[in-house]
This record gives sequence, C-alpha cells and structure tokens, in this order.
Amino acid sequence: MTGNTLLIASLLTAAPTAALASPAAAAAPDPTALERTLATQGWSPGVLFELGAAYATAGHPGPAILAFERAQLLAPRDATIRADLARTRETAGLSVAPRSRLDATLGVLTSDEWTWLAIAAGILACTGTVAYAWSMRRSLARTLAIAGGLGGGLAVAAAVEVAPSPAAAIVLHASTARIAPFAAAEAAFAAPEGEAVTVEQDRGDFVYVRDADRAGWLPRAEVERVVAHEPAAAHT
Amino acid sequence: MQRHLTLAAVVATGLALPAAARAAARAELRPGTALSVGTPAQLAVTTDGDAPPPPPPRIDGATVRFAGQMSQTRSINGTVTPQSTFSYAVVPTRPGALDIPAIAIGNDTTAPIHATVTDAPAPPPATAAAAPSHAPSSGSSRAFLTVDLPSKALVVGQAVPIHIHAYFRGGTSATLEGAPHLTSDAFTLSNLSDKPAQAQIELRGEPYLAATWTAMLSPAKPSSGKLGVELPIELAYRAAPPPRPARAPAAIDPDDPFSDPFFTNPFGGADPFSDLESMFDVGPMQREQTTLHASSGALAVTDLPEAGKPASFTGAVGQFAVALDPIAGTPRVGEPLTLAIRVTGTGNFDRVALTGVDDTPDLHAYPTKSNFTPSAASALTGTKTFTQTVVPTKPGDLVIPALGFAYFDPSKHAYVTVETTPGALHVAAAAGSASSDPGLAPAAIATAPSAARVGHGTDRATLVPLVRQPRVWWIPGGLIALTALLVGGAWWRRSPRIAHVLHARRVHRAVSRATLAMDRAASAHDRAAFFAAARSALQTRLGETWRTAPEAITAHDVETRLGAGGAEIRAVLERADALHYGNPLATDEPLDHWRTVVRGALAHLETAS
Repeated sequence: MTGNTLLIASLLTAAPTAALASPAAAAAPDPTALERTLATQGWSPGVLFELGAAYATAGHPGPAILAFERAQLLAPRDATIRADLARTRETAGLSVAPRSRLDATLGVLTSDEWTWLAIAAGILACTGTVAYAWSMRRSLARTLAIAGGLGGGLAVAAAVEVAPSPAAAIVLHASTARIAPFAAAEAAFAAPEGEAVTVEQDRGDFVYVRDADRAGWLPRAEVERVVAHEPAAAHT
Repeated sequence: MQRHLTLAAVVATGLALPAAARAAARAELRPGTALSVGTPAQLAVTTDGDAPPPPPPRIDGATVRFAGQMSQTRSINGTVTPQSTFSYAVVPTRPGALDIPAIAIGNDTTAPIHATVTDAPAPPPATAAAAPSHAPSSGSSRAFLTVDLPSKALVVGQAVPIHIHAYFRGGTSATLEGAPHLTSDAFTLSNLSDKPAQAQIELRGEPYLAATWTAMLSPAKPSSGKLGVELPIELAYRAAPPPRPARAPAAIDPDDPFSDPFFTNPFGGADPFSDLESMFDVGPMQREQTTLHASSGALAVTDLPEAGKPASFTGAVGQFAVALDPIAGTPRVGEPLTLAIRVTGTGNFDRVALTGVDDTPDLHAYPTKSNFTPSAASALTGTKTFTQTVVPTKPGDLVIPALGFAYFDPSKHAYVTVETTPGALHVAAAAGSASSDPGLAPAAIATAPSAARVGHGTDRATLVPLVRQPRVWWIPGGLIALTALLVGGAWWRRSPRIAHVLHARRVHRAVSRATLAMDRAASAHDRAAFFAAARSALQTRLGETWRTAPEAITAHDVETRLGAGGAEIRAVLERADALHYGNPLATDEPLDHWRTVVRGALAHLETAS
C-alpha cells in the first residue's frame, strides 16, 4: 500500500505539473507521455484514467475505452472511471451487453478479492484437517475442514467467473472484419472503433473476433486485448 | 443497371439490383449526372451495416436536404449483413460543374461524384437516351404505368406512401433501364423498394404481370399540378409474322425445263408453314426501348403555416405520441442511467427529433441517440426511440421533467405539442468514499480528469487477475503439501508398529539415561543416587518387558515373577528402597560390584524381552 501511495503522490506531482505550464496542455494531456509513464511505472489506475480521458478528448474512442477498461480492472469500484467509460461508449455509439444476475452478484467482490478469500478458506480447511488428524478438538476441526474446503472451492469458482477474460479485446480503430484472414477477403461486418470483441483465433496478421452476434477476421493491429501483461506502446 | 422482367418466367432476381462488386459505402446520383438548375435529383448513399445517417454533404452550387432512409439485409456465405441507404434531395442552384464530395458514412467513405448542371431542364434520361425512332405507343400497348397516392392535398415536409404499378402483358419480356422516378421537381421520392412486388393478374381478359414499387413521397416546396412518374424499360416480344406476298405467275420458257409453275410456285404463292408459325408464336423478336409514364392527377401542396409554429418544431408532420419509459431501480450518484423516450405514430420520422433532458446541477445529461423501428406495414409508421444517458450528481429525490415534442398534424392542419409524463426517482449516495463526491461525474466530463479523483485501486505490474497467475497457486500448493505432511505425521504416529518402535526407543533412552546416572553416582561414591538410578533402570526395563508401569514394580513383584533368577534385581531394589527411606546399609559390596550386577541384569532382561 505504501508503494501505491507513493505512486499516486508522484502522479499528482509529476503529470499535472507538466500540464500546468499551459492551460491548453492541462486540458489535453499528451497520450504518448502517459503511455511512457505507464511503460516505466507499470499499470496505474490514475495514469490509465488520464490516458483514457486524453484519448477521448483527442477523438480516439478505441484507445480511450481500452484505457478506461484497464483502469477499471485496477479500480473496479471507482464511479468516475465507470461513468467516463460509459460516457465514451455512449458518445461513440457503442453499447455493452448487460451483466447476468450471477455476474452482478459475484461482482460484489473483484476476482482478486475472491482469490484471496479462497486462499483464506483454504488455510482454514487445511488447519481443520491437520487438527482433525492430530485429534485436537475434532468436532471443531471437522467443521473447519468442511466449511473451509467448500468455501474455498466456491470462492475459486467465483474468482474465475468474475475474472476478466483473456480473450476480451477492444477494436482500436474502425475496421472491416472479413470472412477470411486476408485483406482481399469479402467483408463480413464493419467493426466500429471501441467495440468490445472476443478474440477466438490468431492467424498471421489477423485475429478472428466475435461481437454479440457477428464474427470475422480483423487485422491484428486493429485489436488489443484488455488484459495485458505489460503496458504497450501508444495506440495512435 | 439492367433488370429483367418476364411474365413467362417471373424472375424476381432479375428485378434486383445487380450484385456486382460492391464497395462498403457507395453513392449514386439519380437519375444521372446531367442535371438542370432547380430540378431536384436524388443522392443515394448506401453502406453495409448499421450506420447513423451522415449529415447532408455541403455541395457548392446546390442545396441538399435529407429525404429519408431505407434498411435491408443481404446474406453472403451465411453471414447476414444489414445495409442502409440514405436519400438526399439535391437541387442545383446554378449551372456548371457540380462536385459531390466523398461522404463519410460509418467506417467508410463514398467516391466523389461529378455532375454537370445546365440551365435548361434535363430531359428524362431514359426517354431521351433510349427512345427509338419508332413509335413508343407499341410498347405502351404491351405495358403501362399507374401511380396511387393516399391524398391529393399535402403540406411541405409531409411524407406519404406512394405505390407505383407497372403492368406487362403476357408474353412480354421487360428489362428495367432504371428505377421509377418523378418528373416533378417539387417532390422527392425516398425509401423506394429495391425489388417490386410481383403478381399475375388478368385485365380485360388478358394476363398481365403487375410489378409494384412502394416508396415515400415528400413535397419539397409548395406547388399545384400533377405528379408524373416515369419508368424507363426495354420491352422484348414476338410480333405476329407478317403475311407473305403472293408471287405473280411467270411466263413459261419453252427452253427452260424448270420454268414450269410447278417448280417456281408449287403452292400457288401461299406459305404452307404460316399456320404452323402462328401456332407456335414464333414471329420475329421485337425489342423496344421506351419510357412508361403515369400521372397522379391534380395535387395541391401547401407550405407549413408560420402562425402557431412552436419553437421546438423540427419539421415532423403526421400524428405522433410520446412517452417516457419507467425508470427502474434506484440509481446512485455517479452511475450512468439511461432514459428511453418513445415517439410512436405515423409520419416523416426522419424529421422527428428530441433533445431530451437538459443538463442541470442535479443531473448531467448527454446528447440523445435515436433508433427508428418501422412497423411491418409501412416505413411511415413505427416507433422512434430516443435514449439518453444521464448521470445523477446529487443524492435525493430527482424529477425528470416533462419532455415536449411538437409536430404538424395535416388532418387538423395545425401544430400539436405532446409531452411525456414527468418521472421521479430517488438517487442513492455513491458507493465508496472517494466516488461519493457529487461533483465527480460532471467534473470528469467537463474538464480534464485528474489522477487525484481515482482514489481506489492499486498499481500492478500486470493486469492478469491473480486467479490466472501461476505464481499465486504456489500458496495453496504449499499449503496443501504442508497439510499432507502433517496429516501423514499424525497417521504415522498412530500406527501400532510405529508406536511399538517408538516405545522401545523411549525405554532404551530412559534406561541409558538411568545407567549414565548410575555411573556418575558410582564415580561420586553416592550410594543413594547409585541405587536410585539402578532401580529406575531396572524398573524401566522390567516395565517394558511386563507391559506395566515401571514405577509400580517392587521387589516383591520381582520375587514373585522371576523367583530365584531375579534375586540380584530384587537385592538392588531393596537397597534402593532402604537408602531412599533413610536406612543406610551397614556393610555392603562396593558400588562397582553392583554396577556390574545391574548391567548384567539389564543385558539379560533386554535379551529376554
């Protein structure tokens, strides 16, 4: 948590300080500079939020939505990020399928929180099992072992369910999906910038994506997965 | 641009527009690129997929007005793709070159179009370009055109359905040279059906193929007179074979053996197969390019009255109703909420517009988006849904004000304003401390965002969730391994064989400790300690052999169970008891003797056990 505090503090002093030099710059942070900040400091919800807003201001809803989505992964309960993500989608004329009741219920906790809960439940289950084996308060130990095991299993299932799909991706630039993975293939549908898609296959310079009810091949450069290991280069 | 129509084989596909290589977006100027000042032309912009209508292009030398849109779907290799066509009325205002720029629609751009505008009215293209020298009336005898309109009194901007019927007599093959179009510059035609509906009918006792197009007609300016419709076509049919002239009898040449009429005119000038040709209708094929004309009769188009025109009037003409969908749930501060306002009715929905809820300190409102769902019967009837995202910025009760919509009702010839019912909702405080700032959402929208507003979340080296990171699974893995180890230890501890070995070890260690103490006591000449240690060693060993508690074994037990063989052990125990209870021995053997005795007894007992 200390590292987090330090990083936020550095953001408050570093990024806006440069922007204060001119009001125009303050209104529109440079996305490239923010991308560089991410590359050096790692994923940060504050920088990602700034990046999304910068791209949205510059008229690039695709990278903006991608940045907001990533910021939301790190700060899932932040209403500002949620509102700006919805606004950017609304402005771009995009919609997102509503979450199922199960997802909405499990979404009370994040995937990471469910994971830690599962580990805690696992520790309880192991403790109960060992105590039972060593004949220490066997009734309590048995209860702990069973409850911990069940709770841990359910928490792991919830963590997997809530976790963002590694196949989730955003269309960075408006592009035409094709029925085959080559540029001269017949157009399948027009993928608008910022649309959320699922990557199902990779082949050469193309990826096979699916949105709500359509599927087709898009150039790999036009699509970026939301869940990434390391910050990528600027998208413009 | 040729379409084919035949009664003998009704080829619906022939009526369809050619499926040649299509660009994703394309623009077409109808009836062509030769225009005249003041004569409206139709600019059709078509794109694959659903796309909002592009704004009317700015064309130097012409006025452009959105006239309507049409949607259809097409299927390629099983993939169904929607297609949208947007129509614009283009009225040239000066002669010369007219350049229509590339139009961005959806994700694509159309090709620019170059047209030429002349002062004189452009002649109808089909008639002027293709009408042959022979009389077109022969064509009209085999085909004719009619037009149906629901009303003869219209107002500018009103949209009414129009039905154009083309009739082709049996045995006539028709190739369409273009779509039906208007001859008047006071109207625009939009949403023209791509494929006419076809039906076989009988008129005056003869079979006909009736092809019917449906479209929307919109008056562009006040006028009075007839509305003309034209359809350029090429007809093909077999004419009845002309009668063959009879040959005049020739004089007989006495020197020519074949000059006899038998050889020159065996059937006396008559064609013996003429009846056969007539029977199979195999007369010569006739092709005829012509333009079918139709007129609607007198129409009166009046302008919209200025008196009583509401400020919010956007040009909607028809009959409409407006309603706000109920707002479900309890929104929180900062959470986006979608309002849905539905306008239902009949009229020119392309001119139906709503701005939605205004931005207020309690509610941040975004621009509305609209989606029109026509009814199955007509594109003039349906529901246009306006959705608007709003973000409450303060907790408490919030009232969505009544939203007004003004239109012109041609049946009443008056403007009508309808309103939604005001809606009420309760806004809860935002979840989370940092996000509960009421001014957060609008501030984030109106100004450049600041990292200070993003208070939650942690910085990480990767966005991959923990559950999908292999290193995280080392924790439960290690935990399970440790648990298995501890459970195994418990099992091992409880095993009888292991327990026996452990017990034997414990006895051995206890005996060894006692023997060591005995040796130390012997070195120190401490008889009491010596015999106490010797007794402990012997009792431990006997207890392990007899499976009894060592401290409970007495000299009497030794005598009872070992008899004379245990005399030495009994002697050691008696001496130890005596010394323990304060009865020093008067005379006794040296401790080395007893040490040898005890060691021997211990070795004997260990061997025996």
